[in-house]
This record gives sequence, structure tokens and C-alpha cells, in this order.
Amino acid sequence: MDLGTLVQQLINALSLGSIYALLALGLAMVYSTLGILNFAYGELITITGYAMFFASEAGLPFVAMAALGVLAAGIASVAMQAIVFRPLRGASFVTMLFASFALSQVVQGLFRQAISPRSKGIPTPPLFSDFLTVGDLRIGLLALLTMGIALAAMAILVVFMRTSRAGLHMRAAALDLPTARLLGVRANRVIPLAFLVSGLLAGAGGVLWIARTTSVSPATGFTPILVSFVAIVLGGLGSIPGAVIGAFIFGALEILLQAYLPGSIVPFQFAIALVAVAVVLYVRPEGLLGHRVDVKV
Amino acid sequence: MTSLWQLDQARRDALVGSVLTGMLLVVLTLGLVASGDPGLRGTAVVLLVSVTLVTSLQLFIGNSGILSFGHVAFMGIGAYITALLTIPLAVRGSQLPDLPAALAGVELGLLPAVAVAAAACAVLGVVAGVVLVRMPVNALVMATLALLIVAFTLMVNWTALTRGGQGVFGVPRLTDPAVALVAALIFVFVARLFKASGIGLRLRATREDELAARAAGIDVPRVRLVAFVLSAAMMGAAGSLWALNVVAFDPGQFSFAMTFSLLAMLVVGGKESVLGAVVGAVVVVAITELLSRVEQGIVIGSFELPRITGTVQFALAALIIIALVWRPDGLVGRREIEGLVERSRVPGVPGMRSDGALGSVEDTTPGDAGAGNVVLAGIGLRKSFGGVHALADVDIELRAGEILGVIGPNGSGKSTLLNVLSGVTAPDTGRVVLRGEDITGLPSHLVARRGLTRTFQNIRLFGHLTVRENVLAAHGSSSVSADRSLHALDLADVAQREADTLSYGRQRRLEIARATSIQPAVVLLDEPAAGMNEAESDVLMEDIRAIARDQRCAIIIIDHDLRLIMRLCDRVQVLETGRTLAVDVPLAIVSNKAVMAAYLGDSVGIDPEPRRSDGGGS
Repeated sequence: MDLGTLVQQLINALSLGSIYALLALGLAMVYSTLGILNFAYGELITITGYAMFFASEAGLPFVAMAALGVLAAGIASVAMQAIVFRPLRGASFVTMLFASFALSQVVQGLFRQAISPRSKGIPTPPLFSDFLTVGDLRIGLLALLTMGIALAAMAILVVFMRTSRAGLHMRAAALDLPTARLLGVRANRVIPLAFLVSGLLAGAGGVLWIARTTSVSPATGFTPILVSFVAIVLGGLGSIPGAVIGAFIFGALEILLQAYLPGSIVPFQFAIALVAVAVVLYVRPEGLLGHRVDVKV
Repeated sequence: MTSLWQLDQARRDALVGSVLTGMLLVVLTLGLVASGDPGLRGTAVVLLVSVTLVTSLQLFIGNSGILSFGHVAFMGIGAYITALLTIPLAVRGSQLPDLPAALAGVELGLLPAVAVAAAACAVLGVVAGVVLVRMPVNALVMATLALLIVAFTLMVNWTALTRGGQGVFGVPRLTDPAVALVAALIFVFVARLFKASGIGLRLRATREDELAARAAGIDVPRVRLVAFVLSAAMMGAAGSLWALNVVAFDPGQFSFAMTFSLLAMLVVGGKESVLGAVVGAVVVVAITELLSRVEQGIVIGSFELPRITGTVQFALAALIIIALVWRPDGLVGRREIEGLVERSRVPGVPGMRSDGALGSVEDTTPGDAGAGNVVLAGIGLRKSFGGVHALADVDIELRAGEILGVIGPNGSGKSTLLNVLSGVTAPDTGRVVLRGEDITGLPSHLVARRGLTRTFQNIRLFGHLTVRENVLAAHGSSSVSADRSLHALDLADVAQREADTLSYGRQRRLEIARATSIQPAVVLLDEPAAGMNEAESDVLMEDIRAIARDQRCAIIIIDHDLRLIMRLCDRVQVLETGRTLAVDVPLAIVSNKAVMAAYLGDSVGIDPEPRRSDGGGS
């Protein structure tokens, strides 16, 4: 294998991994702050896709499509919180998971009924399929853009969480919501905020995902939610850096298998990647950065 | 004998309940089949097959409290195995030309096909299960989704066996209403029997409180694995029956829509109850069948409604959300059918006499010959959390038959000491020796099995289990020992009540009953009198004494109630900032200046009156 191919694959892996990282981050944020696993999270990516689709039908440029996509996911996430999770506040993890599973089915059904069960193409700027040529290296522009945007989004998140008051509240809530509330953190603010941040991350990841797949269908959210689940569990449920690391590893694994598996086995790559993750989890059941939760007794 | 009858009570209930639930299914089936309408006859089979599927799922989810998105994988595998074994050879060859020779020549009937499907899924269940059950619960739930995806990927892409997305056809229709009915009855019976079994009970205990289950000697991953494998095998058999009814199918049928409708059945009916699963199946199948007829298009007079699709999904989603908001435990709740029928039994105490009729039990405690021998020793124990040395360097010795009090201000390391001794947390350095055996770092369920049990500062009961089940769930507890413990702590009259419904003081007593029912050599009590008034704690003191005497077990007790400690304990060990300040008989402790200074402040003498029980963390 020559160096050029290796560099290209590396960039592909980092690019896919950074999309996965954004997606997993959004899901992990809500889990870490509120202990809720939002199964309908994948539908936020679908919503991003449809928002972009309608924006393009309206003749808007790609940048506007992307902005609307991110916004739509943010709003939808907050709406999900208000409509489904708020009435169930205090319910168990399993109840919330059931409810969000049902919600995901409703949203999928709505898109099937209201739009179409089939996928809709989403035009992307021709720029995305350009290559950057460095020596004999050809690097996809989309891959570079994806990495850049994802890193920027993560940097904004870190700055927001570390420097703003709202970020401080969220970090406090993540450590111990009941205590944070006693100290004046308002649940009615911090919970929708966590969902907003989660939705915006889904939107950002969603735009990049859509730019890569160039279409949207009612089932679009499926792969993102699955990948986020895998990344989070692999990285260690409850650990935010773990989610990011898990996402990059899973992305790299996928690209690696795609590139080096014999052709007849390539269709099984996703299953093989999952089995590989299962082997890791057999050795480290709590995930790479996870730790056995020490229950206070 | 009372207790023997009690032992059989759970199984009797399972039997009676299965018969009653079965009668419900028989009546429904007869009604649908007798209508003569082939459509309704088909509905009957669909319903009964759904019952087999959902009871398989209920067996795992209901008893373990762990949601699984992955079980449909086993259904699909069972279905494909059945197809490969039952499709007539003539059809099979043309359909799947690339079949391995071993599969190309075998044609099985109903029972062998179902058996092979179940066995294969049991094996796969073991493979998937050993990975899953080691994971933390919430991660486990997420990981089950991957199971479904792996199976789905194989079904779509392993075209030599499955024809991929095109699907297979020509499976003989062997699941007629009679077969389906018998199968459904068997599945209901198995689910009920499992729930009533010892392992089912212990699994339900882990559902209620995993940490307490471990402290009661339950091997949590193991009981989860047993249920997972059994439920995978049942799911495979059910998938087989399903395939033998639908005749043709493709991988798309084992996707989220199927998972969703099975989970809807569980949520709507009540996931912790087998009857709930059956009722849920009836409701969901009824709605699905009705709506799919609506979707065919309805003509009202001259007006034809447009054909609509996807209504089932909406209806089920709406149903789930409504159920979760209004009836989180489902239509049936946690009850089983016999509980609904025999209402009169519920508040009473069947079979449990409060007159102390139980004979004394043979002493099975291994002899720790003679008092004074050390039964439990902690040597040089250290444990830090971050920079805090919760245990800086503590030695502790507990002698046979002794009651040792451990006192000290909040944060002095008392609870950490108990956690380290009982295997809840491992010490950083130091050793724990129980009856001559080094148990340092042993997980808490193994520590419990070696004869050391404990209670928790913040009560940890199996809330939705009955008082008696709480005690019986402990590993090594028997019907006889459970009843004796309940008597010893004066809980016999509430044996059949849910633990959650007890008063605070009785909940604390129940924890002690659970900890002592397996005749441990050592019991650790973490603030047993917290929140009790003086009279209650006096009674408790007598009971603890009686347990120590009758069961010949040694006890370590932490409490803030100094009056209780000083009167109850043979010796008292005082901790301060993770170190031992003094160990001595109570009288000497009371007059120890250093203890006074550290524990109560310089100016205060020991007040033999109870201190405020602050119940706060320590």
C-alpha cells in the first residue's frame, strides 16, 4: 500500500469520524445532563434533511439551506422535549426510551405520509466534488470541509460550555441535577437548553451527513442514530470525550473495512464493524473511557 | 407444613394463572375460528403467534427490566432457519440454487423445524448474551440495537441462504389455529413458570435494585444471561411458527416495525406481567387488523375514502405514548390473572400464620469454634477518592458472636469501611479476611455467598416484590430460612405485601431480614436505626441481639444513635478521618478523652440520650 492511498484513507476516516462525532455528541449531551436517551434523535437528522430539501426547492443557496437545516433540528429538538419528555419528567430511563422510540416512529410516519416514502435528492454545490491535488495526492474537498466544519462546531461547543453561564449550568446539571437545582440552576431552563444544544449538534452533523449522502428519506435518521449509539457505548456511556473518541474509532473502522475487505465481503462491513466493537466491549464492558458507576451507598 | 405450602404457592399461582390466561386464549380462538370467516381465522393465528413472540420478549424485558431492541433478530433467524428446513425440496432448489449440500437435501416437519430454530437461537443467544450481560444496563440496551442490525445485514447480504431482499417463499403453512393455540399456551406457561422460579425471582430482584441484588449474593450477569438465552430460544421458536404461518417473507419484516409492534404490546398491556403481554398482543393485533382493513380503502355510500397507509404505525405510537403517560405500568399493571380473579387474597396473608408456628431451624452456620475467634479482619485498609483519604489506614477485627459498633463523625470513613469489607468497592491497599479466607477484591455477590451480608444506609429493597420475595431472592435463602427471618423481625404479617408499601421502620427491618436469612457468619448493618424513634430502636436492638444469639453471627453496626451503640455493642471502634481513634468496650470509650474531643467536641460529655439521627451521608 502506498503512502498516498494511506493519507487519503486517513482523511476519509477523519472526515467520517468527525461527522459521527458531532452526531454522537448531540445524543451524549442530553444523556449526560438528563439521563435521557432520545431515540428520536435520528429523526432530527431527517428533519435537517427535509429542511434543506425545501430550502433548495425554494431556490436558496447551499449556505442558507444548511443554516435552515441546523435551525430546524434545534427547534425540533426543543419541541420534542416540550411535547414528549416534559410530560414524562421524572419517569424512568426505560419509559423515556420507549416514549422516544414511539416518537421516532411518529415522525417517520409523518414524513412518509406528508412527503413521500421515497428519498428526495438534495443538490450540493459542485465545489463539494472537487479534489485538491497535492503532488500525486488527490484529497476530496468535501472531506476537508467536513473536518473543518465539525472541528469548528466542536470548538464552539467547548467554548460555550467552558465560558458561558449557561454552559456552566449545564455542566453543573450533568454532574448532579438535583444539587444544581438546589443551587439555583433552573431545570426549566437547563433542560430545554440541553435539548437545543443537542438539536443544533444534530443539525450540524446532519448537514454534513446530507452533504455526503445527497438525499433524504423518512429513514434517513436510522444510520446516524445507530452510529451514535455505537460510538457512545464504545467510548463509554456517560463520557462526552468517550463519545467523540468512539465516533472517530467507528468511522475509521468503517473506512478501513471498506478499503481493505475483499469485494464479496464489503456488504457485510457494517456487521463486521459491529462485531469488532462487541469484542472490545467484551473486554471492556464499560467502554473505553467509561467506568463502573460507583453507586453511593 | 406452612412453609412448604408457601414454596409451592408461587408455582401454584403460575399454574393457575397459566390455565386462566390459557382459557382466555382458547375462548378468543374458538370465537374467531367459529365465525367461519377465513379472515378472522387468520387473525386468530396471527394473534396466537404474536402471543408466542411477545411472551418470549416479556420473559427477558419484564423480569430483567432491560429493554431489548434486538430480540427480533432471533425471530428472523428462527424464521429463516425454518424456511431453509421446510420449503419443499423441489421449490427450494430453484429458489436457492447455491445452498450448501447439507441444507439442500433436508426437509423437516413442524416440530423438528421449531426445535432446530430454538436450539440455534439458544446458541446465538449465548454468544450475544455473554457480551451484553457484562455491560452497564443502559449501554446494554443500546447495544441490543446492534444485534438487530448485524442480523439484518446478514439476512440481506447472505443471498446464498436468504435470497437477500427478494425474500423466500413456499414455506408450508403448518401453523394452523390448533398448533398456534397449543404453542401460545406452552409459551404462556413457560413465561409464568420462569417468573415464579428461583432464577426468575432473582432476576426480578436485579430489576428492582442491582446493587442490593449483588449484596444479597445474586450473580447479576448470570441470571441475566440465563433469561436472555431462554428468551432468545423462545423467540427463535416463535419466529419459526411465524414463518410457518406467513409462508413468504423478506428481511424487511424483521426491522423496526416488528420491534415496535412487539414493544407496543408489552407497554400497552404491562411489561412486568405475562397477562399484560397477552392483553397487549390482543389490543395491538386488533388495532393492526382493523386499521389494515381501513387501509384497503373504505366506501361510505358513494363516497370513497382515499387509501391511506402507515396508519398502524401512528396508532401504535399514539397508543404507546398515551399508555406511558396515563398508565406507565400498562393496562394490566404488574398483576397476573389470578391476582385479578382472587381479589380476596390480596391484602390477606395466605398460609402465613403469625403465631410463630415455625419450628426452629437446624443450625447450618459453619462452626467458628468458640467465641473469641476472629471471623472477619480488615488489615491495613486504605481507600482514596480523588485526593480524599476516606480510609487512611484502618485495621478492624470482628470476633465470633460479637457485636462491634463503628462510630465516628460524618466523613470519618464508616460507610467506606463497610463498602470495602463487603466487596462493594475494592480497597486501594490492605486485605480483608473472612473466616480465614482472603476475600479482598472479591465482588460483593461472592462475598455474600461466603457468609458476609449487609444492609444499606439508604434503604435498598426490591420495591415491587413482596416482603417474602425480598427475603427469598437472597442467594442461599430457603423457604424455611426466609420465614424464620421474617418472624425474627416481626414481618410475618406483611409477608405478601409489596415492600414499597411498608412503613419506613419496617423497610429497615426487612433489609435486616434479607441480610440474615441466608444464615451469614457476619452481618454489616449500616445505620439500621436511622429515622427510628426511641421505642422503635429499642425493639430493633432486642431483635439484633436475638439474631446474633440465635444465628450465632457476628455483627458490625454503624449508627449515629450512640445510646443504641453503647447498649448493644460488645466493643466499639471509633473512626476519625479514615483512622482508628480507639477500640474498646463501650464504658472505656465513653471515658476516652480523645474520643470525646474528636467525636463530640471538647466541651461535651457523652450523652446517653439518642443523638439526632441526621440520616445524612457519612
